[in-house]
Amino acid sequence: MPFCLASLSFSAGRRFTAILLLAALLHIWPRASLQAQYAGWEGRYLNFGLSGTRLFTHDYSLSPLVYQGLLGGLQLGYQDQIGPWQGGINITGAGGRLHPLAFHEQNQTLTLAGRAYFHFRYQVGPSGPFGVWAGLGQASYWDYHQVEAYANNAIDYTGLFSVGPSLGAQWNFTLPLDKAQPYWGLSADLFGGVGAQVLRPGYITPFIGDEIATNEWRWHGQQQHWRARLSLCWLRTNGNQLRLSYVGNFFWIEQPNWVQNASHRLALEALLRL
Amino acid sequence: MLLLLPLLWLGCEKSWKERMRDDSPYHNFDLLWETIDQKYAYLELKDLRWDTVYWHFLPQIDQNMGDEALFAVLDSMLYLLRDGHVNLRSPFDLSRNWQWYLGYPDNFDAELVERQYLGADHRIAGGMRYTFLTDSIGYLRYSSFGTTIEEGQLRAVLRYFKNARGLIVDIRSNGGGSLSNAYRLARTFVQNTQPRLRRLYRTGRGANEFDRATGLRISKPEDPRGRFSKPVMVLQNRRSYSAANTFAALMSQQDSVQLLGDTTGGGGGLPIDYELPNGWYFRFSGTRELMPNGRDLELGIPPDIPVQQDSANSRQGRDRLIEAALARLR
Repeated sequence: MPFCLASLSFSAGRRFTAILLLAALLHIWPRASLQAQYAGWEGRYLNFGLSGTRLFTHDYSLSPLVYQGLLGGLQLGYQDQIGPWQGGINITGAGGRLHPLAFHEQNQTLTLAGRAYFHFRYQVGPSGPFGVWAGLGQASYWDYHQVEAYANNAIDYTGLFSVGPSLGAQWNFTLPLDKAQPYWGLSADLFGGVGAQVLRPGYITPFIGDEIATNEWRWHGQQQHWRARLSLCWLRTNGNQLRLSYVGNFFWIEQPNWVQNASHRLALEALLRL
Repeated sequence: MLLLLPLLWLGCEKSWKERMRDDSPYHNFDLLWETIDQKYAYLELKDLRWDTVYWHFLPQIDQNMGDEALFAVLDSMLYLLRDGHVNLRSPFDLSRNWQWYLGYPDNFDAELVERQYLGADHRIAGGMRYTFLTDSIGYLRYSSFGTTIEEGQLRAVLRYFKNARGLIVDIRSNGGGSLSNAYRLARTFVQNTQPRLRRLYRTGRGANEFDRATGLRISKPEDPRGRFSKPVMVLQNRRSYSAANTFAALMSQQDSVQLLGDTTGGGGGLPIDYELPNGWYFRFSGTRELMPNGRDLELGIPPDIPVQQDSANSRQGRDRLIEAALARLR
């Protein structure tokens, strides 16, 4: 049951938010060009962060019902931008409890989620305040669920190790009231998995003969994997950065037990320049 | 465009969540029927036409029906599966079909066994109760495979029966529990033939989509102190179910073992838990298990020596199955 754009239904509040966001972007656009020569992104960084994730999963190995919940997480990473090259790895570990969307009071489910995302890109767009990078990305996801109310099928898991194109964009700007530094930036990232190694339970039981039941390569179409990130970055004069990042993830894996997983992650990150 | 993605995402998610929150009687009925249709292991073995079942029960569903009425319909539908591993659990009742033992003689009186055979001074190790019935014939009662057997306890029991000429293992009215306990106890009696079972997993939505039969082979313990090699009689009745049924299937493949009593109740499939949008839980058999000769464990394991208890025996304080086993072991 992939997300259907046709079923979009923005509420009045969301429409208003969208208009405000667009207006703000249009307002800062001209000022961005003033920072054409700013090179505040360059360097090597270590990345530490705290995150909160709202996770939805519809997993036929786990239940015919949709589960949702909040996960708290820690993240660690490294990234660099040297000349036209850009690369990095981000690892997030998160844990929390999910419950069925249809009823909240029972079947709390322990969930542990691991996310690692690696990218390596080359600048293909204009130099200056706005730049575009293109390259390869690799996303490794691992979700583990343990359902308290179940017995033989209490364990459920998904391993997804995707490879695909990765696009990045960066944009410098100053806020209207800023007369000088600090500078601000927006950084965005989009990844789509072309193929993936998939680890999943069997159609009925988590393991077959004590082994992971499904461990095979799937191309796009038998699975889908999308990851989008948008970060608001505060580029400090000492070279460090503070970021507020939103990461949206969606993956879907086909039969025998299809799983659909969507998450929103909000993270506060500190990037320390090495 | 990248900046608008989160908003698009939120919009899609909202409509999707609304659909998934539906806990109407129709949605509950559909999910239960569909799960059994796509995941239950025995539709073909039991010759059930599940599509027909759907059209029979659908008219009984009403958008405004109460929980009790919905439960009654779903209960009636699941009853047709004739499976002790199929239940629907609501806050007010548990649906079940227990005809696998209610329709048959019990052949077991726990109080009679305790008073007349085990006696006041029998030994207890974990879930096992044991004693000598005569100078040379041991008796081991194991009432639930849900009670863990530790290796140390098993060794102690075997030490106790070291000089026994034979042993009666009584699993009557043992409703099952953990298969690990069944395997551990069965290992003790393995001689030259390794008992085997095959488990079949459903691999897709079709009622006959099974694959990757996984073989189970029980080998004898390497340490001779962990084995019992004298003749063994296993007492079973219709209430010997699930893991006890599997234990009987393993024991039946041993030359030194004979099964005595009634056919076991079955319960060959691994129970799988699921839930409905209204918060009720249900479970169903998700796998099939076969003997080397192809017999499905769901059908129960017949005894080598059929013996029935009758009320006259009970009145006389005699357990006919134990007496029959004693007579053969003497």
